[in-house]
Amino acid sequence: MASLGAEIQRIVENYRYAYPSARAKAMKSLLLTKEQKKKIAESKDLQAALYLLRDTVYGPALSDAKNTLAVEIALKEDLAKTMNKIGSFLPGRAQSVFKLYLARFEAENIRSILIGIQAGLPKEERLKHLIPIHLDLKADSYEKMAQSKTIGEAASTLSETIYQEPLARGIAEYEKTGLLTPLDSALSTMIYDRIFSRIGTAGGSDTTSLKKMIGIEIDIANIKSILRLINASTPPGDTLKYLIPRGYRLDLEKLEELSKAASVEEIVAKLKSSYYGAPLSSTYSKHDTSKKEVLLNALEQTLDDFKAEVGRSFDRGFPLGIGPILGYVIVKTAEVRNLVTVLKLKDEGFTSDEIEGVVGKI
Amino acid sequence: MFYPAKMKKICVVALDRYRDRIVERLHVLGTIELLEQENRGYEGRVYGEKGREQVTGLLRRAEEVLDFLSPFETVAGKGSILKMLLERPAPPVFDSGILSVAGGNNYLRGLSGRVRRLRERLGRLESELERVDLVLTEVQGLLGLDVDLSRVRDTEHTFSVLGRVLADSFEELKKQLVTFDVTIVTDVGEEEIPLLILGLKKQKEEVTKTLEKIGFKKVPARSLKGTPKEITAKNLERRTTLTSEKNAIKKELAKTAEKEMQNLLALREYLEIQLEKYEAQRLFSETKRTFTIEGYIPAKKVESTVKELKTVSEGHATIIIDETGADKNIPVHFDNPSLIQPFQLLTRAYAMPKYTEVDPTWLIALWFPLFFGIMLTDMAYGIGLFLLAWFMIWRFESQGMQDLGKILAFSSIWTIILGATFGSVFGNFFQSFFGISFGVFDPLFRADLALLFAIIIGLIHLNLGLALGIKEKLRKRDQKALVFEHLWIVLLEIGAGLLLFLGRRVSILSAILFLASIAILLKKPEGVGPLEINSFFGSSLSYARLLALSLATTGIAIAVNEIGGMLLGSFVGALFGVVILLGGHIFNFAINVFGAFVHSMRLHYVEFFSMFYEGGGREFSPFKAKRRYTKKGGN
Amino acid sequence: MATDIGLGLKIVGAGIAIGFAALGSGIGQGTAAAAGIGAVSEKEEMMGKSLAFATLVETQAIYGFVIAILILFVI
Repeated sequence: MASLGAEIQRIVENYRYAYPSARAKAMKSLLLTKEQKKKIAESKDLQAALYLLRDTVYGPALSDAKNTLAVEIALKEDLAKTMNKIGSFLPGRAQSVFKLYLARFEAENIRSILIGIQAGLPKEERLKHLIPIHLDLKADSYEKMAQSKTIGEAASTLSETIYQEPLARGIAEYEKTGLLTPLDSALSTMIYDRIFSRIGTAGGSDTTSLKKMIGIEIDIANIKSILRLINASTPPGDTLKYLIPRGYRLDLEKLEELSKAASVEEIVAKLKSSYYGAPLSSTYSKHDTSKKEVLLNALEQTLDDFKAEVGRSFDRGFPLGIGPILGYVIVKTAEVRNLVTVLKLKDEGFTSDEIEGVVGKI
Repeated sequence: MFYPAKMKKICVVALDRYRDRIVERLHVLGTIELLEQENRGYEGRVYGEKGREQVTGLLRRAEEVLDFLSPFETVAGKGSILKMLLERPAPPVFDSGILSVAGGNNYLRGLSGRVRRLRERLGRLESELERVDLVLTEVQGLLGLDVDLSRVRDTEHTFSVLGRVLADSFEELKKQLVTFDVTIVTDVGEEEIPLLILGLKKQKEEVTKTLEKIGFKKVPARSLKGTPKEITAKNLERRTTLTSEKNAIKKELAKTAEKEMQNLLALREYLEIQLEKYEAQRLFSETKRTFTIEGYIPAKKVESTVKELKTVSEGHATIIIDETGADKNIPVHFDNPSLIQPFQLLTRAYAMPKYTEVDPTWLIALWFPLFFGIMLTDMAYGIGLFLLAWFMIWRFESQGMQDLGKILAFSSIWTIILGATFGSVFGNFFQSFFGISFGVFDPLFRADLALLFAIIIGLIHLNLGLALGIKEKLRKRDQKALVFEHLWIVLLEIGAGLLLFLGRRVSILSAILFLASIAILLKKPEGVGPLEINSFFGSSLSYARLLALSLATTGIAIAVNEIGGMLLGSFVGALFGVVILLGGHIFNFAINVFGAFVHSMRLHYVEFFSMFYEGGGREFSPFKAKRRYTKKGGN
Repeated sequence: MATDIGLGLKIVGAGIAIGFAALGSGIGQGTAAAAGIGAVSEKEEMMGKSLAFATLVETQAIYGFVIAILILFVI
């Protein structure tokens, strides 16, 4: 009887996800097939690749995009819209978590303006990379921000938004070190904090899955940061400061241990027994360790691929729960990111073999 | 009819000179599905790039105008919902002179300029209206102040603030301001009190702070002239003028929309068709002076298509027809007589057959209406359904609605026949009100008999599927599937049949057959083993729904009649009674038509198809102009 | 009115048979239909299959119905 009770509880807990998860599954079936991806990688040039994409789910979004920048923005906007759409049909808490999650796109916009200011680009250039989504910030907020002369001034234009506090913190570090990483991490930490406080302490398989997805994302962002920071020989104390708390498998203790590593090799070794160990070690052993940049890119790509792999595994388990939805979100995000990379490389005239070398399995 | 249409491969090689004519003709014929070719050949050559750009540009302009005009179109459309429902869509009326690149260009040049001007004016008016409304709301709380607002300015030594405060806090405010050198101009107010405060500039900061604490709401002193009353009057007047101007423009836009919509839609469709022709050429392979088209074509269309192509190319095109071979990507095209074509809708809704598979459409056409009829079994509902089907066919143009209408029409025939057989007209309406009853037997009181009947029909249906499955497996020489998917059912059924009709005498033989059946299932590589017997048993029992739904129809109808009948005694009661009878039967009709449809569908999809049908083919999608707004010549 | 306890029990039994079967199948159908609508809103071509899946669950109710009829008419 106990197992019957548990079964009934699971059904009751998940019945609200029947509609959204079926919808997410249908959306998943519209993702690009292996064959399509292969054809895109093998196409003659960017235009040919875009022509192939015309009949896919990306067709409408890309109809007016002619160059890589437009393509990138269109694809990211499409991704943001997809997330927004999924958020809109999720029940209760999961819905608000998704809305909060969308702030990542806004953070990316803020970041791109700040980079523009830092590089001393003219105003139009600073605004060129914006993904047109509007949550807390409207077009004129970006406009005002882009008119600023310094990064600090730009941050002050956001003084009445949720971004004020993390920006202030991040910019203090930026002025000290000249690195954008602290800024990124401050923004991410704020977004994840908001998400975690919304998830709260409620139990249930949906919150567990949400925490797992976000936790893995944090872990991977942290590993990437550590790799980059160690490579730039940042002192361990600072490295730790730039990491995001509340990961899935890497707690503060582990992060502290990692931040004390002296080289990329050591990090990979220290992670060997962790959740992320196997794929990292295998990529590391396959690459020439003297080509630092290539190696780091490959490791980052490995981590992203691993995340997509985990996303696929979300499907297993209860078929009508939140799992398939989160799985779809992860896989879709990975697909869009890879697609952007592939199209950029295509535009620069890389062959399909070379692209496969960069993106791995396309 | 029993299999999808046979396909051939076609390859057309011709000189560029005939290119436009050939592409045009193929687009009109719509018999070929174009194939993308590898090694598309001649580098750097893009045929018709200029024409494509022209068309794209024009299309974008047309869409821009359409986007702006379409919201105004509904304003122009008159008539009630009923009229909309009962009115057949009129054939498209458009000016055929605009259907060319030059004509379209001319047409759009005048129109888009005019629409853009109207649009800009509308935008200006709307933003001015917003400004006026803003001023009005700001001044509203100050109406009692008889002060010319243009005088509310800071001077060298004084400052002035305009605003409102809650009536409750007014005394407090006066008390707090006593220590400062300020003059307060005010007026009575119910909830909020308007205030003008004049003071010395050196005290400005402190006064402002004090005011903020008390909850003083500042009204920004814009460059307004006159007293609040005068300003309000002036702006109200201004608003009336602006609104009437805005309405005039909207009306003009609505008029333009009404006049030009059909033309614009026709033009857009024309341009889309042109664009499709250009886009299709990306699939051709090229040499310097020739081009090659490759594609699939239904074998039946080969002869006529080749003839047409020879004519338009004046015999200068080389056409090669080839077998499709074992290609996996061969598209599937239905090949059914027009009578059963509507049922393709149901086949398609499940899955297109594979190219090498049977097309189950004719079987659905045979059985679906019968099942539907059994589940509804009511003469009156049958007639109602026939009328509904006729209306759908008459009113709606879309292929889906036409097909659905025809399916329902076929189904209604069985419904009427079976309703007459079992004496069901609005349930027991005639029996209950007039004492007339007819029909062979009443399923409601002999449900056991009817159940047996339903299961027997189900077994016939299932075994038909089984026979078809066996035939297909034999045709494909797939012994493994034959044994594991079909043979065990045959053994099981023979065993059960023997036991049922010959009784104990053959029980050993039956047992052997059962055991053989189970043995096969135990050996089956995938699936749930002997438990499949359970699912076959479930499939047969599933046909009990034929009876269940027909009883539900009758049952609800009887309930409606009973309730209605009880009320018919008095005059007022009769009014309610008629309403209940009408509403009840409409409700019963609606849910049971839906139920009968879905369940007939399901019996085919789940029980029937599991015996022989897989589906999963790709539907033939010919290179063909789709016309809706440019259907007939126009004027 | 005849007071036949046997008949009364038969009717109650038939009611229980169909009632519980329909309850369970209703709950299941709710979930299946919700999922079906979700799928159809992204892929219209799923319409047919979704309807079939939604009615799939009804088979349990049909079993209840068959049992009820057997109780009333055969036993």
